[in-house]
Amino acid sequence: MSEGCAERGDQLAPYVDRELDAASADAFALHLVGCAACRAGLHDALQLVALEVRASSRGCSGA
Amino acid sequence: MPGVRVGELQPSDRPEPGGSEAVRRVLAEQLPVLRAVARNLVRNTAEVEDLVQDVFERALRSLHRIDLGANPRGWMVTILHNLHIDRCRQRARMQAHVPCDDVAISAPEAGEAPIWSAITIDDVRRAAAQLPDELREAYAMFALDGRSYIDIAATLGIPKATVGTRLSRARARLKQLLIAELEPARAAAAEGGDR
Repeated sequence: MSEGCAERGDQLAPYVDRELDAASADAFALHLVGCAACRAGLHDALQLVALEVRASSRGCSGA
Repeated sequence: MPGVRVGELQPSDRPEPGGSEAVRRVLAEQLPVLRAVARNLVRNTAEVEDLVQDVFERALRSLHRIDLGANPRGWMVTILHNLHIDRCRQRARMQAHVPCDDVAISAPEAGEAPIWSAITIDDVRRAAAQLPDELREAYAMFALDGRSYIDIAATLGIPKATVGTRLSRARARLKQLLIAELEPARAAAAEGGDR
């Protein structure tokens, strides 16, 4: 994840959390195509987001 | 078919192509979560619905890959991720000078999905408590308390970009902690199953 990609790993959370501007998000999306570390990091981040969504919508009842 | 819940499907429910009603219902139960996750990746409602519909259809075509007794959440999020990468790849191909890995992304890379399906938000909370202080406070404020990057930056007195950096690193560390916690149990279960 962020430790796996020195170039853009620290942009993973802002990308997933919609905190990048449109141009930066597009650039990161293209970076994902060529970076296995960021793809793996994105996968993990989305899995965590899915858990967080369930927690917020179900009163933290777990998955 | 009311009353069918995740984890209650039996191997006999494994459907012919298109899925039994029970399977379709269990997969459909995941759609609200998938919709919320998709909103983190694409910017308009139509794109969200297209992506989620594609996930549902891909899942129905790939049922041979899933443990019907397990929560399909992790598996379906993996499909969503792979479809998003496919779309990024398609866009990259339309632009010159963008390097692409030769890895085939469209086939589900679902190896870790069963692990994620076994993780609950309580596991995440326990793991988050083990994060270094500066990562833990940023993650808790954002993911557990629902605060914005700007709000967190103001509270902690750090640049907004630093919030992003800390959250990126927090999620990476959480993955390591969660896997470290679950792998022994999975290994023990697998060993027991081999006997």
